[in-house]
Amino acid sequence: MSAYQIRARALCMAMAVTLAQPATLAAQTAPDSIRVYFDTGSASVATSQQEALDRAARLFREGNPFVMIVAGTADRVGAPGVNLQLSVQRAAAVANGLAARGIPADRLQVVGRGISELPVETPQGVPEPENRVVEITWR
Amino acid sequence: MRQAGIRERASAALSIALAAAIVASPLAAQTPPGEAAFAARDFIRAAPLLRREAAAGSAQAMLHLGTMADLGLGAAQDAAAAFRWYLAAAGAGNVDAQFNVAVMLDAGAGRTREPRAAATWYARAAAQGHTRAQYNLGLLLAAGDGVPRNTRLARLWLNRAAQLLPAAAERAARLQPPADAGADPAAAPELASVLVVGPADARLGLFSWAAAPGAPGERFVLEIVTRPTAAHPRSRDVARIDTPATAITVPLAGPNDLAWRVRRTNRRTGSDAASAWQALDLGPAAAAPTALAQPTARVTLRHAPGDAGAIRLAGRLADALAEEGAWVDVRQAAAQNATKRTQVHFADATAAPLARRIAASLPGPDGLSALPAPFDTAASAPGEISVDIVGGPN
Repeated sequence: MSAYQIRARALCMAMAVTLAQPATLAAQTAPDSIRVYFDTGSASVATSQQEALDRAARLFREGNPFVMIVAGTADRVGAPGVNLQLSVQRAAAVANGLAARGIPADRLQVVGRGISELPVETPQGVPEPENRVVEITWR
Repeated sequence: MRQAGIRERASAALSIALAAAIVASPLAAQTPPGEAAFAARDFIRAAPLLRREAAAGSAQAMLHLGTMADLGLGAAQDAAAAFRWYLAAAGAGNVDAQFNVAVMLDAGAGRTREPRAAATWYARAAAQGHTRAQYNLGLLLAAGDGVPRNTRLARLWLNRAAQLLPAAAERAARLQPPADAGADPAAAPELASVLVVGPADARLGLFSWAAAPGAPGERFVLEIVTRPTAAHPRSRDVARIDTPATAITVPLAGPNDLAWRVRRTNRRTGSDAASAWQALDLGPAAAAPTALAQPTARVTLRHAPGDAGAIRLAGRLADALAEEGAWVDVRQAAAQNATKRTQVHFADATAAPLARRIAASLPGPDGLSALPAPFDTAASAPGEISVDIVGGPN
């Protein structure tokens, strides 16, 4: 990468930050994501986490093309393939909970990330509650 | 020049032909261009078209403009602009926009969180059958967030949503039984508000209120009457609606100068508490609601058809009572319902003194006395007096 390219890239990033600012300021009081946590190896939404689904459903506005993105992850305990499946199941469980709260199914984008893009990076085999999570965002 | 003129005319003719073709196609005939561009996700083109359609009063266009500002489609994200467009669409009667206004107030999206106002907007959408609004209103009521905590009302709204939202049924089942502590059956309904939407020939009043928990068996009665004015001095009943819920929609076809209030009643305990009367102006130059002078009493005078003496007497009595600040209605009783003798009934003790004065002023062969009416929450309210007049001065 040339120095020019690096500078241009830095400039773009700076612009992105500037552009993002009004939205960040506007969202001061409203959360821009909601997290639903899971027990180790589990893909069912605990009663204690139902309230998080309620909060998410209370933020979702009506009118196309609103989309709610439901992205699941798993911690680095166990085989990656199993964890990918688990993350999909977790996301699907949350999506079902949101659909049960009236979010139209075609507005829900369900993503299983497995152990990629983890909220907290850990070595393999480390149980990390922050990574056993489904993150709900919307746009 | 001449050629240009011809070309212009030709192109104008072509435009008309094209416009005719567009209008003739059933989809285009139903979908204004701004909405069509929005549906095609061409937000840059949609924005000016939608603004024009919004200026012409399209609530759907306002909702789309709100969504675009909310999500940053075709322009930068702008929560304040989104809220303004949603609010405009909501006021124009769009239920989804009413819900979105509630959600933004509830979440504090780009603004200070206002749960009390959120509850009112949820209630308006909920009254029109918006299930997510019913669910969210149920959650606010269950938590006592912005409204008095009221488990019975939380259950009522969650159960209404439960037919379509399985989560609402589960949430209703998890509600704790109502705590009697803090229950005040004598408290009048709070936060009574009305939003009138729709065109002049199909106006709909979205009435909503809240209430602290009361005793089992309580109901609400929404009363709408015509407000006495110089032109129309009588106060007629427009609607008297009994409901267990805290929000309802009422078609408003009648006169423009109205007053309304909501009562919390309970047949079992005999309690009855009313909100203050509020003015509701539907005329073209409807002013912002101002404090309304409350009536000293409400009196209904009935006479048989063709009983000229009774009609004269009722007119005089109505004028005298109105002079004292009462709201009076003069009605003709159906022939089969007309009583054979003059009688005065009052709903409760507060109405007794005036009822006795009315009785004393009326001609009666055997010394007329006022009688307490059987308590009926739907038919009569505290302070109400009904008078049947038979015969009168010539």
